[in-house]
Amino acid sequence: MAYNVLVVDDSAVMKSVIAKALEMSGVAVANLLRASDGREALGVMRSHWVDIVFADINMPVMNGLELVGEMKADDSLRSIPVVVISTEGSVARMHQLEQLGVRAFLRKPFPPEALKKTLESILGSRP
Amino acid sequence: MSDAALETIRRCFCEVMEKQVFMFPEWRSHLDIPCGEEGFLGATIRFGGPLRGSLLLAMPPEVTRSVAANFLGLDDGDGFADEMASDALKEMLNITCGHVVAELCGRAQVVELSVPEVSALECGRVALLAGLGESLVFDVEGAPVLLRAEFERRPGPEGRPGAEGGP
Repeated sequence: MAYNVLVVDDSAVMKSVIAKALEMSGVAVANLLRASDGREALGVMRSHWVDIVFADINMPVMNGLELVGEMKADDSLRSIPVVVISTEGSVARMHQLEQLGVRAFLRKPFPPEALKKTLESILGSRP
Repeated sequence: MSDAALETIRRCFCEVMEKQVFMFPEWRSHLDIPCGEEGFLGATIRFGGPLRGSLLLAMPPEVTRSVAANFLGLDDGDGFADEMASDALKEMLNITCGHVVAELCGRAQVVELSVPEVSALECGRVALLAGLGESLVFDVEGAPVLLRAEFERRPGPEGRPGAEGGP
């Protein structure tokens, strides 16, 4: 099965790095969708089928936390799993993300295998 | 700024550069800042929470292009990597800052980071900043790189948040 993956990051270089890591992971990606902030990501999700979202926290316009909050408030988006990829690593932030319903957290820099493992553990466990 | 805090910043930057872009900065107590034709690109990020302040990372444009190429797994001189140079500088600073504040504040507290901003810096300005106590200067593949922290709340002796006031 191939998945539609949405990568949300204001950094073009990080979007490319994540795309490359996905490619190297061997996970079948049908469509790699990209957005530069939370607001743009909501637009993409409302117009495309998305299986999983990889989102940064620190973005302009709408940050990753606000994005997850908006998704959880929207019946059509709340079941899409979100993985946060960020530079922050505090326990308090992890707890905050967990409470918001974020499925996993990857701290930059991360090896491609970590992304693969995360992807498989989330999508492999889907009913 | 305490020596412990400065050492934390130095170590975090070196680790992030090594892990993310496979480059090995060498810290120098003094390094001449030559005036290349292109000057420097500088990225600034602010952080808030238990520790407030900013970090500046400045590199000659040719180094930012190498950073971008390594980030993306491309050869030096690749046109796409060159386009990504400014973005790669911002991302290196973003990652470095996340690690620095986590180390200095401990992992129990949330620290908010701003979106990094990039601007051109004259080499005279970089040379001036490099001579200040809160600055670290590195040799990265033969080119000078400046990393400078400014704290509104000073880290204590162990690198943890300490007394109020300037660094």
